[in-house]
Amino acid sequence: MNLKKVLSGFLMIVMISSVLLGCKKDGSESVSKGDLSGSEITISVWNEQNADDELNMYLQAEKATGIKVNVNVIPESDYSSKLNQMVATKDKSSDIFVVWENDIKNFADTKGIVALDKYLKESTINQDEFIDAVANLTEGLGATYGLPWCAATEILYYNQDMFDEVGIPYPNNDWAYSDFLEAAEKLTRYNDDGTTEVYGFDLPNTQTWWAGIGGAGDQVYDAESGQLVIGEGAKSFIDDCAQMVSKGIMPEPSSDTSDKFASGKAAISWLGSWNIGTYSDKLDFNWDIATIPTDKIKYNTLHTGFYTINANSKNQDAAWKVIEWLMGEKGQEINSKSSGNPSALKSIADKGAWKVETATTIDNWEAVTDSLAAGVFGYTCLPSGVTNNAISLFNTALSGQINSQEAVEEAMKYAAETIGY
Amino acid sequence: MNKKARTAAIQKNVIISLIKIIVAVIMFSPIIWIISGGFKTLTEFTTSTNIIPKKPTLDAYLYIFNSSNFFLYFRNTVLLMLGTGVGTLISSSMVAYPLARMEFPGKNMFFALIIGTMMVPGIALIIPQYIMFGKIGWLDTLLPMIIPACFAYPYNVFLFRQFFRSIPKELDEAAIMDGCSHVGIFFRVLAPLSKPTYATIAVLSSVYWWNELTQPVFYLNSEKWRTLTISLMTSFMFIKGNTFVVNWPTIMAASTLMIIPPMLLYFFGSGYLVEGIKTSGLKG
Amino acid sequence: MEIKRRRNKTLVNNLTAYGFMLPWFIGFAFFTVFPVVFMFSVSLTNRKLNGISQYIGFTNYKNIFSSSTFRNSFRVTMFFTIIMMIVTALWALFMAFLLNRRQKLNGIFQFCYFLPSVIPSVALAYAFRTIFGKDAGLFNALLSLISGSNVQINWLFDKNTVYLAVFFITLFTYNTGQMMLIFRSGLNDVPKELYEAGNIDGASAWLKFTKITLPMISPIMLFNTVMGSISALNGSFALLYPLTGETGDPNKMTQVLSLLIYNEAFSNHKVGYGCALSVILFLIACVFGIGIFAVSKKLVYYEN
Repeated sequence: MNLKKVLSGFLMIVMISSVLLGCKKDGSESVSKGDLSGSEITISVWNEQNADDELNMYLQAEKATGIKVNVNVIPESDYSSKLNQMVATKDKSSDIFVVWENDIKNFADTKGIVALDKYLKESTINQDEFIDAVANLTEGLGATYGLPWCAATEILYYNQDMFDEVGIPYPNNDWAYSDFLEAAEKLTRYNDDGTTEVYGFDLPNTQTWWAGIGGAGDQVYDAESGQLVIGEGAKSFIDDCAQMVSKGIMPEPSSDTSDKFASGKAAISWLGSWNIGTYSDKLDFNWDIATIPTDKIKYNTLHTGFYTINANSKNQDAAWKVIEWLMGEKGQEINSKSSGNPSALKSIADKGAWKVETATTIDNWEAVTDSLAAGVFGYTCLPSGVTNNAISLFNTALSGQINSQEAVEEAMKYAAETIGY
Repeated sequence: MNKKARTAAIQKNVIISLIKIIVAVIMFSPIIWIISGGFKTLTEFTTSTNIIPKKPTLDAYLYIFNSSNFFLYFRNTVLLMLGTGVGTLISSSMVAYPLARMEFPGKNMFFALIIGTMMVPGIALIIPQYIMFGKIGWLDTLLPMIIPACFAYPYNVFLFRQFFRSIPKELDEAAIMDGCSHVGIFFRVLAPLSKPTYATIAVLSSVYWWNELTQPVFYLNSEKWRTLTISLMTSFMFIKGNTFVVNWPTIMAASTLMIIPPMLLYFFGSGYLVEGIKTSGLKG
Repeated sequence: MEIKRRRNKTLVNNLTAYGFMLPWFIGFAFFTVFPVVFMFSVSLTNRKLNGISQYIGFTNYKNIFSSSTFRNSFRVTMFFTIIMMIVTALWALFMAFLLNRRQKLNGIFQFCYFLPSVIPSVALAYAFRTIFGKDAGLFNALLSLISGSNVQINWLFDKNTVYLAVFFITLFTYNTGQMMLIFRSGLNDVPKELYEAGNIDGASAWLKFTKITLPMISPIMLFNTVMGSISALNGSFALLYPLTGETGDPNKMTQVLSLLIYNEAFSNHKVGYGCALSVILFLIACVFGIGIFAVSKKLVYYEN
């Protein structure tokens, strides 16, 4: 008898804990069509929202639609794999996924996200308005599964004060690669003992590696085979960078990563266009932007993400309402203003809301449009494990532990093994 | 007569004290670094190595308390600690009881198996468990960590067994004379006598789950059940609106907040913590 | 009658015992045996993260053994586990010695020595990423101060220094603190008479250490360091994942098996392959476990 007591007590605890922990998840009530205000949705994204409420598009969407919008932030480094896990396990905790280029086909194929055509039919969003690259990418899915939330790309940021000091003309959108190399060398300032005080150039992010490699003539991503395609271009760009590192012109990757451009420790930096919004008026020097210098060709990776609806969501209609607002004029305007990323809808982009007002030192706004025009979908279509591994190898080559040839071969081999699995 | 020897002894003492102080500085330096980092601005953090910040700022803490879900993460971590702690205390002590105090067929084999599973690192089984929990829809909740705890951790079973064995057997016999069943002995005699043991294992388990990173990394996806350790790698890692610039001061400030509970535990429960760890070392 | 009653009694006794052990039976079946079997069966498929899978026989294993990434990871795991075991045990013994000399303020010293081991490994990893930073790292600043020149060592990205830095960081993990406390009580248990006898014989401190202390505490030391190696297999993920990332920078020099498993299963979506790697890690752990049994049979006595 006592044993029974123990066991039942034990089961009670198990049950209580499962009630406490598990069942809250299913608390989202289903809402009848028509009356969506008061319902609640969750959107999964990778970046934190703007601290300014006026520029927080999800907060504004909530106000405009009356639907409570929770934001679930998963950092970039894990984003793709966590999203894949959520889709694979039919997770209901998110209603809207902002899906990356490399995942949308996969999610559509496994029916993890819903086709939006039935909603689009009754909507004012005009799909012909999307920039061509987006249209190309989503072709062949059989239906429209996602709407691009913006069109971002990589650009060059430079510290005007430092250029003035050294007396070099500012870069323009047709800056030659050789001029860039020369300028970077001249802009570098050394301490007495030979260490670097101010770097001429910094390549802080993974994405700008691919801009350099593509610009040096490599294809990067082959849509037919889905493979990573790099070779001579990657080799020459890695060699250039390794040389700059050995001369102290460019910092090598280190564990205490920091933004050297923002802290005035680097004169030139290649970064995503979304940094315009981050820097806005927060830098204490004059700065401007330009297109990334042209080596063999003008090459930029186009970045976007697609608003999609989780097929297992119980609030699909509410989710659509929020997406519709976010893709509408107001939503796109706020997105552009806060991030500096133009809309993927041509007519909205043309209005220029992405020219962040607080970034007063920027004159060369054409750099963004010019870069976007050269933008293609590249490394973002590859699995994140493949690109992470490649970047890790390139970084190793920078410090001279392996040469560029080995780095490129290893990266290709790894990609072939992984993608062919 | 012993003057020489005494000065030599004093010298030796001074040298050892010096070494002790140096080791203490080395061992404590990361904690000082973390605490000081929380009061720096990002620029100061990435450009200088001052221990005392030039321009101390509370920005990181204000951000944590005002604009992040710190309290949600804290609640999740506490729930995780409570769930696993209660589960493992009840189940592990129950399982340990017959192993320590009863004779039954297969006892040695079961004990060997328990010791054996103790040696299997959890990380080796985490992928199949991940798929399994995914199938029953437990991913992205705390259940994959709490439910297994309710079915006895080998390690804690082993500890309980060692403790139970140290309690004199005569007590059982006396209780049986009084007509107690084994269930009665467990609840009326052993469990009350082992309160310090329960407290010790509760402390060890809490420290473990407060610091645990691996399982949450695998099992948790979204913000809803994010624990503090994960939040250091996610929510507190990057500056607002940009996922590429690491916000070191916020990480350090959040780390400081995470160091406080173990520190308090050491101050107020060091008996349980230190003694518990000593016994956990399988002195045999 | 009498026999029957006795038999009944044993039956009740046995059933009670099994009843008490029921949680473990369930836990063992569902959270150990089943995952092991399931892991092996998934390792024979090309299961992807999205759940689609196909039986492919031993292809995963074939690919693993021909993969240079795996061979590297295997070497790194062995190297990391064994060196970490030695380094942390020696450091723990050293600290235990210092603390066991009765002096003032020992309480404060133990606090300083022990606290780092109970703080989250993520916090520790991030602290050390910056302490070992190149431009604004504490370590380089100290070295600059001592040497008088501007030292800029890229500790965690340079192939010559990365292991130095990583093993230094392992001195702050739970393993070390735990061993320190255990060794302290182990040292206390060494009979004082032995030292007194040594003093009478005029033995030097070193001689006393090698001839008295070491033999007396070696069973505890050996057993706990080997136990520590299991937790090193397990715990390296929590330290290295935030410290050097899942790619094990630089050039996969710190990519232990647990990181490789995470990387293959989640970043590359190769769950079947990840399971095959898990099987191998499981087997490695078994080998270590059997080693521990062999050692413990010889050296440690369970009071029984």
